[in-house]
Parts: sequence; structure tokens; C-alpha cells
Amino acid sequence: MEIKLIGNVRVAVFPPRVEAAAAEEIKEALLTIVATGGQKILCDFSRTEVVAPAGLKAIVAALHRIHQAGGQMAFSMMKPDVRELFNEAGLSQIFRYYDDEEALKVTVLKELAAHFAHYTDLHGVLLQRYGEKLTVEIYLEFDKNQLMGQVQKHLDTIRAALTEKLAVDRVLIIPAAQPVEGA
Amino acid sequence: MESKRLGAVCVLQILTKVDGNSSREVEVEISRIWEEGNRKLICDLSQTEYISSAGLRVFLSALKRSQKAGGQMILCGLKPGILEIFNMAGFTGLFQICEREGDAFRRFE
Repeated sequence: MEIKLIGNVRVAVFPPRVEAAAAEEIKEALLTIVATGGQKILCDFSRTEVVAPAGLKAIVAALHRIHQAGGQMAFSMMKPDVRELFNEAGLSQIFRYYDDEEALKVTVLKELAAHFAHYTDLHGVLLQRYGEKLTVEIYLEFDKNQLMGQVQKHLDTIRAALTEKLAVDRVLIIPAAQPVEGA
Repeated sequence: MESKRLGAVCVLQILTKVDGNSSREVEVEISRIWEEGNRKLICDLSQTEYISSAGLRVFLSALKRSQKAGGQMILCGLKPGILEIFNMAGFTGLFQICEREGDAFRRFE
């Protein structure tokens, strides 16, 4: 299981299928985070299609141990079927669902703050779902006197950094000169 | 939104809640201040209890516009929770942030 560090939060990216074969490994990975001093774990379910009973059991076991150790675990980007499974198991009371969209947008803003010199204004950040594809759209204004090649270079750098950090299918950076509706 | 003017400095009282709905108002107000020819702005966040990503976006954009206008923008009075959000977004290294309004006045070049 892939673990990313964002700020002081460990983001555990769950696999497409959380079944018996993977369950024990996932539990161990989560407990290892806590054992090595990680206090905040965000479970990213954006890729997860199936959670089998064994998977659910492993997650609950890990959660109890994490709470005992004084850590926190939150869930994000759950697909409706998976979320329903957790609700049916009566776990919606225990789990704190993270505000997915806000967390994502703050990550985008953090990256834009890091690249502050490379654009002239920020007109909006939108999270859109096109069919199954989750897309982040970032509306940036660039210096009018810059060559297209330079703009392209900055745009590629920002996009590459964000693609690595965000659990989305696509990062779009769109040049814009005015505020964008709804963003 | 309330704003006051003390000498060459404009002080803008930021809303209690800066979210998707209200952030546009903050954006328009800050733009107006630059357009009126002001070059020194203090954003007083002492009343602000909540800021969403939309609010953060407005501040990042406002900083860009202050630089474009050749102005200087200083934030003050951030409550610990708000400061933590600014910190989380990597904004604290980018913005000039003071504890009190008086400190902000002294920071102007």
C-alpha cells in the first residue's frame, strides 16, 4: 500500500480491492505508521471498488489500535458502494469522514503557494467529476509578456507536482484572465 | 464589510466566516481598495472564525494583486485555528502576518 506524507498527515492510498489477501498487509501498514510516530492517518479510498468482510475487519482492528495509541484515522474519497458498506456495518458512527473536497483544494493551494512566482493570478480551483474521472481544474493567469514556452514550462511543473500529490485522475491547468464562476 | 483609513493605511475588517459564499465579497472589497489607489492594506482577521479553501484562494489572489498594484498587504489578528490553516496551506512563508494591528502599522516600509 502506498503511503504519502502531506504536512503531518500520512495518506494511505488503499488498493482497488481490499480483500482477505490484502487485508492483513493493510492492517500491518497502518499499525506501522502509528508505531513509527505517525498520529494522523488519512485513508484514501479513491481507487477502492471492493471491500470484503475480511478487509473491513482488518480496518476496524487497526482503528482500535490507533485510537488506543492516541492517533487519529479519517477516511476520504469513498465511492458510494464502499461508503454504504461502512454505514451498514454501523461504522459511520465511529468514523469521521474527512471533507474530501476541502482537503484536496488546500493541497492545491499549498502547491500554488510554493510556485507563487510562476503565475500572476489565481482565478479558481474546481473539483469536477466527468463520468468516473475526478478532475481538478486550476484557473491561472500568466504574465502577458511571457513566451508561450515559458508558460508551458511553469504549467508542466505545477501539474507534475500536483499529479503526484493528489488522488485524482487528472489535473488541468487552464490559463484564465478573470474569476471563474463557482470556483 | 467595514474598512477604515488611518493616514495612508487602509484597515479592512475581514468577515467572521470566509467561505464559498462570502469569499467573493472579500475579493471584491480588496480589489476596490487597490483600485482606489491605496497602497497599504491591513487585513484584520481578528473576527474571523472560519476560512475555507475558497477564502484561502481569495487571499492568495489578493497578494498577487497587491504586488501588481505596487502595494503592500499585511494580515493581523489571526486566531490560532486560522493561523494553523494558513500554515497548513503553506501561506505563512508568503504573507506578512502580525499579531496585532499596531505591529502591522510598524511593518510598513
